[in-house]
Amino acid sequence: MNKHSVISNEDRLIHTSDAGKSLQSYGQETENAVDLEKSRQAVSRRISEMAVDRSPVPRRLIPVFAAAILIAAFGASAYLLFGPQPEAQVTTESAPSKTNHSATRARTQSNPPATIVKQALEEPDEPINTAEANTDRTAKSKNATVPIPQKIAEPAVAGPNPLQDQVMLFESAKSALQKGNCKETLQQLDTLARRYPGGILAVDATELRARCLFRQGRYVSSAQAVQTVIDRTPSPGKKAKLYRFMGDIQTRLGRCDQAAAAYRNALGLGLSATEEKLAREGMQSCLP
Amino acid sequence: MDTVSTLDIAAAFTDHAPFIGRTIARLTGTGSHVDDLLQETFIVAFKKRNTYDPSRAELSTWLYGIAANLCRRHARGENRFGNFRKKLSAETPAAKVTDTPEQVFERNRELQMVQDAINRLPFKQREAFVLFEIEGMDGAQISRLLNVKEGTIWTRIHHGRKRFMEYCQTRGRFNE
Repeated sequence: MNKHSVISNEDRLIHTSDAGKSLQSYGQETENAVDLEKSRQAVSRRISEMAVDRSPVPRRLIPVFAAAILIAAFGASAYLLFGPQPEAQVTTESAPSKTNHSATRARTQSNPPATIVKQALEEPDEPINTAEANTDRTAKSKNATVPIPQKIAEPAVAGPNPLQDQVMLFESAKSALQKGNCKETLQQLDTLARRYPGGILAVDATELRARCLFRQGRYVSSAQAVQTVIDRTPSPGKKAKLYRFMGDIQTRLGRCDQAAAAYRNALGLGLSATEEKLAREGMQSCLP
Repeated sequence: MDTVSTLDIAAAFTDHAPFIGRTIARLTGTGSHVDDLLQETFIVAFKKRNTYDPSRAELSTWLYGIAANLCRRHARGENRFGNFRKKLSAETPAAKVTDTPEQVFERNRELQMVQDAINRLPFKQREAFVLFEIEGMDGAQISRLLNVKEGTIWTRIHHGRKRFMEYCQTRGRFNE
């Protein structure tokens, strides 16, 4: 093994007569050196604070962003106050330059900033075809079995702590699933999707929905949901687990080819020993 | 595969916090900082939970890695401000009610010497020594936990034990 021999259990210093007593005493003294309950509460409190305070901009960059906004505002004000608009108009009208700046002059003469602003104020807004928009949305919702918004949107209901509300809804859905109450889970997830379309937990919620649908025997919808989550999951380890789950769903659907492909993907991405065993068993069950 | 989130921090805390907590105490010495480091370990784990890949390392290894890094950073801070901090917050272990003042003094002196001897070890030897001698793990277990070859672990234990005994003997303890 090594040039230094392996030390047997009996030869540990803690079992010797000289250093043993001190080390044992030290071991007992440090055994309960930490208040676990206090630490547990502190950790859960800090995690919940982090979940609520999460901001789209990292905190350390907030001063940089604030400074950039101030500079931009100052620059815009300065331009509006001391900008070259009146001079440009006077110059082009009274004394045309001989240099090749005809395009600039034409633009300045035809649309000076003041004129543009005036036109913008006078022009009515484009009418929105609400009927068309509604029809389009309805068609989309009919096609999609599982609601997965494409981008993160503002919550429909502005509560005092929208993120905390999302987390609470998600957690209650999760605990309902753990209790085996799929109906309640789906209700909670529907509430979450309705209140916060495209919220920060949309992908996690979809995975939860997929598991719920699987338990209810709605394998087609479950497979669609899992595929959506796979497409949005960057972590290979997580993706491998999802592929294995997909394999299970496809097996239940009797689609052995697709199940085998899913298991193969899962094994390729790397699974834990237990998961790997299950995936291989799944593959074996699919083979003729 | 019924887990929904990648890592359940509450469950991880229940399973691993006692081991992580006492290992931090043994690697850095007892004090209020142990609670801070334990909490920080699980906060960092929560922040990085998406990077944890169970197929590459066991959860205990991953959590221990985070804790060990925090302990190293704490040790560097101790080297810079340790004496000053110790003067500000000197903590002695709670004495048993039945102990006489002499016994309390002797016990505290002994514990302090063991802690000093451990603190003097280089960090890698210290963790191997603590896990082997005090935590009672064997070489293979430590090797899996630290993700280091078993031979390397035995080397570190050997050197750690040697230095520990040398320090204690220079302090007039444990006859050669």
